Amino acid sequence: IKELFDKYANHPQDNQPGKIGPNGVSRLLDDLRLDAEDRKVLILAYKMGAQIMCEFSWDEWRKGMRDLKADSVKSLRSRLDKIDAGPKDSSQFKPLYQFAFTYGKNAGQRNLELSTALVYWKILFKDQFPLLPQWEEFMQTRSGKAVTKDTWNLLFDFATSIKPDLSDYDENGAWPVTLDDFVKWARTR
Amino acid sequence: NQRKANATIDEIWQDLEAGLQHIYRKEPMIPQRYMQLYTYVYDFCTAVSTHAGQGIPQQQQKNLIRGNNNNKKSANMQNETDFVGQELYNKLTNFIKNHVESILKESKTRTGVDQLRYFTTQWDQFTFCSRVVDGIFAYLNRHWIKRELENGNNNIYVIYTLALVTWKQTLREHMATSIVGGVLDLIEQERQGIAITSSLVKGVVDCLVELGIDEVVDSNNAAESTKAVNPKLRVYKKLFEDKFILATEAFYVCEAAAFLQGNPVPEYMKKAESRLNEEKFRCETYLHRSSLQPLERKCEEVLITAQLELFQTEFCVLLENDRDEDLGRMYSLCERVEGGLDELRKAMEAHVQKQGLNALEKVKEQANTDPKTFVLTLLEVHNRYSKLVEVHFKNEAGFVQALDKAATVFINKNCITHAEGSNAVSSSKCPDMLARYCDGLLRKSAKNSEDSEMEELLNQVMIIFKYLEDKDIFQRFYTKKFAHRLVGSLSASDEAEQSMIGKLKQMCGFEYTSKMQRMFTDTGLSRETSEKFSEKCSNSGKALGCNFNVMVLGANSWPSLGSSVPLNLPYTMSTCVSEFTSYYNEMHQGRKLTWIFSHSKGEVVASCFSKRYAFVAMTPQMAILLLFNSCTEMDGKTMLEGLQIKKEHAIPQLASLVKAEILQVKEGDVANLDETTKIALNLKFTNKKMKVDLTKFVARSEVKQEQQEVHQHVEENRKMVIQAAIVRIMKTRKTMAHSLLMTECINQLNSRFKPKVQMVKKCIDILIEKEYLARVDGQKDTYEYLA
Repeated sequence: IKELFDKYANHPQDNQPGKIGPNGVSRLLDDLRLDAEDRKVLILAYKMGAQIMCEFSWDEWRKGMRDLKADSVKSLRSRLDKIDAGPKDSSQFKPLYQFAFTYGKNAGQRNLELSTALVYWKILFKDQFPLLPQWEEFMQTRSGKAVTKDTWNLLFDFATSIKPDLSDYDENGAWPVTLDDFVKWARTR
Repeated sequence: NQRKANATIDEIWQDLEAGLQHIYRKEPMIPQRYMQLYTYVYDFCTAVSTHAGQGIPQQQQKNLIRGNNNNKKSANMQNETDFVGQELYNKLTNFIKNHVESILKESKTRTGVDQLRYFTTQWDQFTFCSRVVDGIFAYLNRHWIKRELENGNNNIYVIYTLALVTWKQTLREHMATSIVGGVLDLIEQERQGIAITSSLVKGVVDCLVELGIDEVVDSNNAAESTKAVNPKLRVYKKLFEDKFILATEAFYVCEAAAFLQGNPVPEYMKKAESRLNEEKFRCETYLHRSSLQPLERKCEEVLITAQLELFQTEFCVLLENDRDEDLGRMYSLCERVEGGLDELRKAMEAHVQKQGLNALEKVKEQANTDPKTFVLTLLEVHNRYSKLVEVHFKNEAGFVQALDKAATVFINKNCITHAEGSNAVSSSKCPDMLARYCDGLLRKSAKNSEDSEMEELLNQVMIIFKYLEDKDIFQRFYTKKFAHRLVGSLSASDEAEQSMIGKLKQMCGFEYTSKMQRMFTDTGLSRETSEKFSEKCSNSGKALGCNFNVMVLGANSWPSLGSSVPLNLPYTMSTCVSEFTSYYNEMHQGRKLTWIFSHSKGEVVASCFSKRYAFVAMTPQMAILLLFNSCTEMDGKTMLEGLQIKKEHAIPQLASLVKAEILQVKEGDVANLDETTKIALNLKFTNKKMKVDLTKFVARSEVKQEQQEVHQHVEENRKMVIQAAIVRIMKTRKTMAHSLLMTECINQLNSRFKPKVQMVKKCIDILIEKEYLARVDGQKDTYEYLA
């Protein structure tokens, strides 16, 4: 594991000694033959418990690889495939989804930049949220605000529990106002 | 006695029967004969024991009573007594049966009232005579029958009961058809207005009730018998009441249909009302009281429930035509049946709402600008219907609620509150109107009301206030007006002001009026401060050169009275200001005084005109006027320099004086106010009055802006209030489901304003964002409070 870590760490173009930096990560992804916008990348980061985007520290790496029971690029890829192909029930997916918020937001900020959020939604909800295109469009019409943690988290519940035709959405439920607005917006169309 | 002791049943029966016949003929009987008959029975029953010739009769008799079965001998004896008792009992049963059958036969030959009269007479006699017979057979009752009953023999009755049971068995069929039929005919006659002999009905009813004598609670049917109140009434219910109720139904179904064809609903209601009373009276006079409930239920069902739809339609018509009495009648009818009032309440709510809106629509033009018309129109509609509800609907809770609902709608959302040409409701219009109306009442004027009258008017204001949704907006407008009244000493009376504050406090709580209260106190304190100040000045020999009063108002409790406009005051006035400032700073250290000249006024005397005039003027007006002490004409620039005031502040003041015709524009335009503008004193100024109020000439341009300001302020304030409420609730509850939190929050705030659901949700979002709240893990509908 250490070898593997060393292979990607301290990339000459990365200025982060003792860590796998952005360029190291991109090399790793190349080796894993993963596209940067693949959900498996997020799974990897989640499993590693990565604090900062495009960075893995040795501790994160060691813990993550142990959890994934992987010791080579090949076994890592197959583990990730397995997890991604596995059941999409919310008990597994939800922590990953919620992890993505913290992972994606800039340190020191409360909310997630809308642009990042849009990318993540695309990755996370691939094929699983029929209303995603509408949601993306809606979010862009709203004067480019950042996404709050509450809205982020509740969107998951929204995506997994509400019918695509919105017939079972309850405006008086505990949804954040942003989701209320979205439903109002979507229904008029 | 000894001789008779051995007599057999046949020997004594002959004479006993003769005696019984005598009794049932109801002929007078001498006591001796009665005693003789009694003795027959006694002897016959006791003969058995002597016949058996065992011991002392007295003792054995006791044994018999105890029913001692252990003793073989007494068991023997008992068999014999059993036999003897049974024999006598059978004979008597047959006798009564024959007698009753003869009555039946006779009764069948008669019809109608005659039959009823015969029946009831016979019944009376029969019961009376049977009691006598019961006395004669007392010995049998006490011993043989008693023991049989104790042994659980259900076919043996005490003699009097036996008589009644026999009557019932024999005459049941006859009573069920002819007799009850006759009674029902009579009742129908009475319903049609024909006088009847009600004692006949009463007789039959009593008979049927009494015939329930042997009915016992049927254990198999326990459930039913707990429902049917009393098993003793079973005969009455079955033979009479059931049929009576059916007949009643049929009668009133016909009558109602026929009557409604030829008469309007209000007449029908009168009819129904009197019919219901009649039936009640009927039941009380000659039916059994247990029938009252089923009878009333049935009448209500036929006369009211079946016509509910008709009533509901008519109700609207009656409302339209203000037929209060008929409405009251309909209420008391419909009140009797389940669900009878539901539709009426709805109809009234809709009607009142419509009336309210229409009334405003009619006076729209005037009410739009005149708060008095607006408020009085609302009040008129409300009082009209609140009286209706109170007097004719007995203040029934449902109607009160319906009225409240309707009033809330037409008071808050009407043609006046709807902004011109749009559907949006301007939430500030109604509170503004009401506040202005209050201002009109409380402001000093020539037509101020008497104290008691004032109190009543204020109470009326509170009626509207109660329905006001945006009480917080009213608070703002009212406070503003109140401030103007206090500052300008324009209040009609302190008591009235205080009373109004008290009323608001009572309805909305201490917090709602705390600022007003402090404003009131400030005013009072200012008076004292002014007095002390002038006292001090005169004591220390400082002449101010004029009378000077000041109001020191706490910036926290008072609404903004406009920004302080710097102004170069004439010398006399500036002395006062500076003297007071230093005096006040001496008294209270660390307080900052801001002078708002735009709200202060004074009186100046002018002796330059044809007459000597006193002018009441705002301080800036005074400053301008005083400039003309040194000249009669000046240009705009000089004026501004003299006043040290910004042009835009000077123009309205100057314009007011021009309008009042004290000053004249000789050249140029007031709006420019520079060296080209020449202003001169109008020396030809005249006025009928000696004292001229110039303050009213100052144009009030702020109103529109004021509203906007209030609005924005209120929105912001509400958000804070909602958040505070949520935090308060969550602090005590720790965790709470979304819907509960929403309800609780809206409830808490209802006395101040009606929070919009969206706004509350937004506030929850904000609080989650600020990490006061969080969603409980795994339950997105529940929040927890984060300390």
